[in-house]
Amino acid sequence: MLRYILRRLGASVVLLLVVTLMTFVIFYVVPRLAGRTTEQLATMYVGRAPTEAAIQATIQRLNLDQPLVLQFWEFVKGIVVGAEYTFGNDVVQCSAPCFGYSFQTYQEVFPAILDRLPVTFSLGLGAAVLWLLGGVAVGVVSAVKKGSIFDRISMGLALAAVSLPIFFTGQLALAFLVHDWDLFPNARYTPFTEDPVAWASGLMLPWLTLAFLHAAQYARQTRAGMLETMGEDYIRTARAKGLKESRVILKHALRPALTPILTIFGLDVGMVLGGAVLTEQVYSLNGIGRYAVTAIVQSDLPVILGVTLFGAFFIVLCNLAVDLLYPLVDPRVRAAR
Amino acid sequence: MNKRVMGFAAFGAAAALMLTACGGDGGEGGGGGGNGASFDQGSTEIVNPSDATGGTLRYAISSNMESTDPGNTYYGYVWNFSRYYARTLLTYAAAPGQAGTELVPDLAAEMPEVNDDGTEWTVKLQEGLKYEDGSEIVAEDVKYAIARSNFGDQALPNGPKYFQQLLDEDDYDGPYGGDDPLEGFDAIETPDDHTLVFHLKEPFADFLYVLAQPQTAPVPADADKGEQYQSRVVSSGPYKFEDDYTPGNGLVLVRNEEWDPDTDPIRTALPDRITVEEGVDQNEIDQRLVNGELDVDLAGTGLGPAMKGQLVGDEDARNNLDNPTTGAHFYVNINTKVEPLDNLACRQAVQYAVGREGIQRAYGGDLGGQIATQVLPPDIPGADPELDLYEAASGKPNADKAKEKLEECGHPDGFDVNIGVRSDRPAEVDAVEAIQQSLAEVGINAQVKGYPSDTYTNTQAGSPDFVAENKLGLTYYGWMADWPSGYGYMSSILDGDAIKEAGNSNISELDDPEINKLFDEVISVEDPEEQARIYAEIDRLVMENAAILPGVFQKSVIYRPDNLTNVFFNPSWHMYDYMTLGTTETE
Amino acid sequence: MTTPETGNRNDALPVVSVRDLSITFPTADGDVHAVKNLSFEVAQGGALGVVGESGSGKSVTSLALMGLHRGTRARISGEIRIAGTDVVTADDRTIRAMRGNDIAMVFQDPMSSLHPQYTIGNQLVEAYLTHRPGAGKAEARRRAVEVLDRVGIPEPARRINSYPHEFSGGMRQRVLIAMGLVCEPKVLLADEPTTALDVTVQAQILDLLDELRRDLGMALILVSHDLAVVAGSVDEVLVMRKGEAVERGDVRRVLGSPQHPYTRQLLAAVPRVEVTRAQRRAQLRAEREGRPVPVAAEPPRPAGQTGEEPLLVVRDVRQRFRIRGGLFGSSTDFYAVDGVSFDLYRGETLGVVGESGSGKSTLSRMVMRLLEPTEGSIVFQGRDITHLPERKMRPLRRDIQMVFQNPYSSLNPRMTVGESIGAPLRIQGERNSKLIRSRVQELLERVGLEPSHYNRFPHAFSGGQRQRIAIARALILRPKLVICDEPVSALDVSTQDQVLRLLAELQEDFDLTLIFVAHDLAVVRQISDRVLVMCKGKIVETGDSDEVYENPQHPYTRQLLAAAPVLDPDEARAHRAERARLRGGQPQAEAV
Repeated sequence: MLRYILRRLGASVVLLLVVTLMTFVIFYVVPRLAGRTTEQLATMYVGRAPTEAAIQATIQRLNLDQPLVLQFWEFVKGIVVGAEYTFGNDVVQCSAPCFGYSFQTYQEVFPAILDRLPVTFSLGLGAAVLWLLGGVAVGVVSAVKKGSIFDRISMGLALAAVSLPIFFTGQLALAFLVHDWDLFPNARYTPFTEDPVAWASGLMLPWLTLAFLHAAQYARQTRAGMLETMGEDYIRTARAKGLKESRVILKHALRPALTPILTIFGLDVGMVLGGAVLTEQVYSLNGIGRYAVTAIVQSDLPVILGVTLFGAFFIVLCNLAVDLLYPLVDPRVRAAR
Repeated sequence: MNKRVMGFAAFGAAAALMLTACGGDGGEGGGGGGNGASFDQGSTEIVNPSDATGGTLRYAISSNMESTDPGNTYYGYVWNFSRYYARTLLTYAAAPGQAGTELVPDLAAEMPEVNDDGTEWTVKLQEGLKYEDGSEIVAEDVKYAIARSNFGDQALPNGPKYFQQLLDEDDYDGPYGGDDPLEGFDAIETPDDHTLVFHLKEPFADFLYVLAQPQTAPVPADADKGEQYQSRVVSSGPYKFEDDYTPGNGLVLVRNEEWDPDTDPIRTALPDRITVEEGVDQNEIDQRLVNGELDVDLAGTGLGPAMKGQLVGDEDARNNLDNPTTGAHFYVNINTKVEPLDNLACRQAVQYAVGREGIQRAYGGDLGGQIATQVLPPDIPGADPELDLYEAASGKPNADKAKEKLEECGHPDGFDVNIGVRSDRPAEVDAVEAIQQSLAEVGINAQVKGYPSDTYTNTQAGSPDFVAENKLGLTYYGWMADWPSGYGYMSSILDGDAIKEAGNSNISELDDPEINKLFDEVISVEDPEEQARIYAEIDRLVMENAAILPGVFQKSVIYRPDNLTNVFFNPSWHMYDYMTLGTTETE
Repeated sequence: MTTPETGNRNDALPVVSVRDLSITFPTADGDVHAVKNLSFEVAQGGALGVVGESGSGKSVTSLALMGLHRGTRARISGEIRIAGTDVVTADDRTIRAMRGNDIAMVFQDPMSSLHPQYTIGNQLVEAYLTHRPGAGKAEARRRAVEVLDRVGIPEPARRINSYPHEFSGGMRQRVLIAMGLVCEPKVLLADEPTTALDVTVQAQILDLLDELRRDLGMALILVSHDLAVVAGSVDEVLVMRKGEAVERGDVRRVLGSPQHPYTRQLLAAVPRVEVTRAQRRAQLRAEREGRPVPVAAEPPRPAGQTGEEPLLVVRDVRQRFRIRGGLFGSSTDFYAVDGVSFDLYRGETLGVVGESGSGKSTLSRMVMRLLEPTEGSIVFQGRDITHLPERKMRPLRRDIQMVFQNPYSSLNPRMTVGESIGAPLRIQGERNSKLIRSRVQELLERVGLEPSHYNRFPHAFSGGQRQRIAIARALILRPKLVICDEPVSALDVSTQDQVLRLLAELQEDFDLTLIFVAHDLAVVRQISDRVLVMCKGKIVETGDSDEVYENPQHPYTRQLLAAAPVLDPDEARAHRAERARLRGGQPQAEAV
């Protein structure tokens, strides 16, 4: 078991390195392959006003005139150890992990990401809990009452939810529920530590919109899984023991059906923690997703790099968590290790 | 309830939701000019005048503010807004219409004086002006501010570099890196704490406009942190930062007690507090403006398409809308070097062939743009809207005349040409497609080449080599003046001397000796009326040369909430003058 | 031998009473009457065997006794009384209270019948607390340990925290039985409890059931398709066919002198361990030629006495598999077949007998060269084929063919049966489709199917028919050697009989040499000239089939024979006693 954990951890670290390498290749190597010179590369990344001085400064800052290996080394070193930057007459220490300073806002990238982290986390985790509970509950009921009106409507709604893009449902929700009918307050992030009630009420609508989209998937998956497990022999045994139907469903049938749900959940949470871009955009929440989009539009390289690695880190982390949870959930997996 | 009924009810609710979304009756909120204002009143008058103080003035913007540092910015809204905490040497009068293009002294005690040959300008500062911390504002601080934004390798990159181009200074390397930041910066003299003398390379009549730019806002050298200075700008204006500014988190300004209203010609400083919320989706901003939850869209470019479409059709809501010309002109550069457009007749053929109404439609019709027939936008002195050499005012194309010209230039059946455009700007792409169609009617086969907007002005359209290599005979462009004068508008785009290798704005590469001479002349002319005449002449010559195909003068649709006081459109800022605004919602 | 106690028949009410039970299922093709007017009774402490083939309705009946058709589309009429409760009309609550408490059920497949994600302790405790909610967790656990001990799980206090997959098949069945016992039910209903188990394990479980019944005074209903399984464990037998009871009565009478023709037919089809090959052969030949069956046995055809070379010589073959190690990564070697040698002569049938894990299937695949032996040699018709490259092997494959166990999965569902049977010809290079077609149709007829069914798909046929198709496929190349790997294990008794007959006929007509691999001792005896007994990859005994069956030398063979179910109830009990004696020196069940 221990070996299994160590192996997964090792694999995760390797994966992160690979992602770092690939990010580096995309931004530093591919443009060269497309024929750009060092100057042109620097111009792409310098930000908005490409004066000669600024271009040279960028070449210095990003080590663009050095051999590729050295560039990568500096890149990784900066992330791991930190680097120094000069602003005016001040020399500032950018501590590890250092993703540099934004070209547009001159802010240190990593603290800026951390600043926005609570927003994305609150949005993502809150929605995740809602969609997991909601989706699974609907899936269970649909499976048990297969073919009923409830089943048909909920699967129909699920299909709609999965097909409707979130910027549509989000805008609709905003237009009607917030502005016209005043049912919800303006979506706004208030730190939990400041005012838990405001935190929840401000995020309620974004949670519901984001959860609506994902819950559908979980409902369908749970329903399919449940239908499968309900036909298994051990369900028959459970009934033969005289157990109440609710217990048979929840304890005996649901548990095996949850294993694939766990996998998807881990992946979904990982992605959402990397920034639910569209939801943040529609509801004007200042999270990592939004940060990423702005950076991409503005070619703000340090931010793009920072957000990419950050997102990758979370996805890898969540995958690792799922891998480690698996043996707990399914004892057969434990034995095979 | 019966399951079946519930099912239908749910379905019905969902359907109703869909249908009303299409209906779009946005009659709620902002219902009709509550203070008696009418449509477009703010373009010509001060709406809702008042001197009631108090309340919070709420701004919002859809992205992050470009910067809060007056020395590191090129966006008009920041130039306008930063005056809350950054007073400049001169500024524009707080009045609508052409009156708003006049300069008035701000930090300066009076209008500056120039010596006989026009190379030396002297400015005297008012005495006793203080920063937010009580220390005095001195001339050296202004010199330092100009140094940090213009000179040396580490000069703040975002703003224009007029001072660097105009001042007679060759070896100053900027304030960073040495012991004495201003050592060697001799082009600006500070004989005493309240006097500045500027030494120019050559006379430049528009220099006063340069002195109105935010780079002349004073910066104490020991408070400067280079690009990080934007987190806490030391205020010389009526408001100061409440806390450090972190991009993305918004900005809050509170009153600066050290500001003396008697020394200030334009600022009313009515609100007690000013807030800026960043990162609010454009639709959300529009919605909140209409609902009364927001006062001003900081970017100043007007409503987004959704809300615009909804309100223009609403009789009541129209009273809250202003529809000014922004001062931006969208046109097509006709390159004078790429074949066959190096031949005048061919260029003229293009002028006749293109019908402007297609372009106007791309900008949303009459509300979005005014058809242009010459170069200068309406509010600039010297602009003559009657000048129409190619009968374009109707908006319809002149196919026959175009064909005549084609014969003249030796291509009776038309020719092939490439037309460049910024592919991520939908309005521009639409305009170019309309142009393409018009040209096709006379046999001119235009192929559209799209480029990303962040590199277009610098590396593609802005590079004569690139233009030559890719045969970009036509390029779609938009241009707004850095200051409201003919020189400010036309020099970069039409002066032969302004052609650069990168970041070039004279994309038609017009190098006409007569025009160049007029440019050289006009900067030593002092009389404004004489200047206006010369600018009109340049405009005419450019049109005769057919180097520019005028498209539309852009107009914006701005929402004017009822609670705003002293609100009007100032053409120098291309948006509402923020310094006069107040709110009726005082607590 | 005295008649053992069969429970107190003087109790007024039978603990299970079924009257005029009819169960109908609505299907797309109309109503299916699974059970028609069934009536029977089981006294307290009594034991009833319900016997029938697939489609007889026996499983449907047992589910009905538990009320497990509730919520499905089945329509039930009639009366079922379990310990006084009328199952057909009672409300859900009463039914739930009854299940597990008054009547407990043990199902067929122990692996899938236990929840894989909960410990057996958890599942046992749950069963207990459902019906004794007042008892605490501690008491439930104690009871669980107690009952695990009773069914013979070693170290029950420790094993209670194990998961189902950590037990072997037999142990799992014991756990299921324990789960049934935990609330001391009045009736234990076992539906094919041993079908998925090895012979020896099967015997152990049946012994256990018998023991429990006597000790706890619990009634037992044993449902099975195998008459022999039922014979030694019940007092009464109920024979069902197509939903109806065709015969019922005391087990000795029904098995000794059956009244109904179906029962007789069924009995005749059951392969008996004591019938020798010669006898069987004679019987078959007589039936075929329409002569009466001779009583005396013909002398067995001697094998290997003509002095010819053996068709197949296998020497010291080993098949090694590498098992990836656990925590520390070292892999261990596992020998599925460990040093097997034998000769096979033309025309004879070699039976290979063993339980699961004995290596018999691996051996058959090695002979087929589907596996390459790790060590040793296989010589076929004088040619060493042990490590022959596939290219060279291909022409030889005409001569060695195989019939597999599962008729449902060994035929490609997407090919018509004609194509399936013709495939070997095509693979061996035959191009003339007319010729292929005619050969196939010929063979279809030979195996007892309609030639016109050439274009049908496998799903249109029954299990027995499919196995015939598989046999046809194996024979179309006129092979010399046919390896049958458990060809009849998945079939009903009567179908099994038919297929075995067919094989016997074909062997004569086509002059085949057979290797017959099976776990059913009786079947192997009938059909083999010589027998190999395998255990854990090695041959423990070999010889003439009669010799091996009548005078087993090796203790394992003896154990195996002692475990084989027999049709005569008295003999069955004798065997049981024998087994108990043998067990005296050994642990009751193997610890895993």
